[in-house]
Amino acid sequence: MNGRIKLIFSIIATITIILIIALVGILMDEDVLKADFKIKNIEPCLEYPFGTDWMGRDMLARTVKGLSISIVIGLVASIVSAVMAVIIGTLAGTMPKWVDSILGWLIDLVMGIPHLVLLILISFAVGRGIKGVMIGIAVTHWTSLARLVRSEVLQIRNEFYIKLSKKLGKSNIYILKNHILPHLLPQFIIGLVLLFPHAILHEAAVTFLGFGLPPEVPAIGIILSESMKYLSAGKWHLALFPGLSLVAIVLLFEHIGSNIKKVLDPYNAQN
Amino acid sequence: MLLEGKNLSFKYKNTDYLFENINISVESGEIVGLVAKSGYGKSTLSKILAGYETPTKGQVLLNGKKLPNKGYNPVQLIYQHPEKSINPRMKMRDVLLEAGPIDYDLIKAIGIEEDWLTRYPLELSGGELQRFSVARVLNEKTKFIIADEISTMLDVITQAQIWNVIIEFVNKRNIGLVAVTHNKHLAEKICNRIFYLEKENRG
Repeated sequence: MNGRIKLIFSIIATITIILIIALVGILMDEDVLKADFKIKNIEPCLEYPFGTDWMGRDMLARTVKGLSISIVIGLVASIVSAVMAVIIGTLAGTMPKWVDSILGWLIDLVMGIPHLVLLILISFAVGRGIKGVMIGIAVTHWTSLARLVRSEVLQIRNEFYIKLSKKLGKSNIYILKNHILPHLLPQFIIGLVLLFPHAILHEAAVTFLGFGLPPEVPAIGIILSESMKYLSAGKWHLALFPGLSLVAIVLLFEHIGSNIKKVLDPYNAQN
Repeated sequence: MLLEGKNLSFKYKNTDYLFENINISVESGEIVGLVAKSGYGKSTLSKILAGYETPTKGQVLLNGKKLPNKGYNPVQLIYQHPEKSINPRMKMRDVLLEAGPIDYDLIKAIGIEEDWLTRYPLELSGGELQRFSVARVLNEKTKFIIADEISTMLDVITQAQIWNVIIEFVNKRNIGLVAVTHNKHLAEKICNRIFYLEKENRG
């Protein structure tokens, strides 16, 4: 078994773990999440590995549900973001100079404002909730990938085989579809996967600050911000395990991203 | 048909003229050699004749009209570097299909083996790739071929093989050919007349 096959196996295994968490969370019976005051404030034990909170809710179930919400939000937001990045980057690279200037200015503008501030603003403006967070994350995270795509397009546009393709009578759309987009595909996939951890962390952060998901949703950000009140009362397990799970998920995505990079883009993977 | 370059001058930004007032013409069915040393502007002149570069002064006319901007250019350039004229992410079959349907007799004559068609450019050598960039322009839409140092990287036998296929094709289809080379002997052997790009043409 060579390194390449090992890498692909490791990528598939990681994706499977994430899918299982997402599916368990989505298909979870709502009853598991209900409050039960008979079992409140239990420390982690065999029956409740993550313990229960002050309302007797099973923290493991809440964490898995929260992670699955995060994964879905992250998935939608990073796909939208990456597609936006490719469209805007390609436009900037192929259109006349003034379009490039305007788009460059737009990228600088969005990049110049701290993510979190812009995210809070947008998510608040479009009315909080899952929709608000998704839109907020999607429209703030495309900038760096768009810039990368733009420079790639500018570079490949001057390749001789593209000019030759024009002399063979091919239209700009044919060239875009057959020469430029296939060249961007690895960048797109790597960018997409590496956007994931950002999206999830920002979702949790915005929710933690109270501008994201509503308090009845068991999102990781909500769990963490609620647990803050009980942390000083010695309820350490309320924050520790959900927090660690969030870090673990983020690391899993990071792992997929860097491995895909090694498979698709071996030249740059060594840096 | 007649392809002519009239009073062609060219200079890159902030440099002297690479060449000035060049007049060159090719008729259908004619093989013209363009011979010069390295650095005298052979490749630049080839690109100008095929419409890849705009001359600083002068113009290129095909039957008295400018070269078309859109659609298949009847004047096709075969570039010196095959690895730059072929998309590294395309399979060889798609590279050929980009110019039109594949003529299997022709690619066999030029020395392309059929199992190369499923390979990527990186899996072929420079000489093998060059056969593809030659095969690509040998079709019924091409009226003039500018061959820019196409055989420099090939061994003598392969050179002969490729030139034979090109010359046979050019004669059969009444195509005009400009053979650009630094090799005077090659030019003398295959060309009807030879155009020398000399020192006097330089600015």
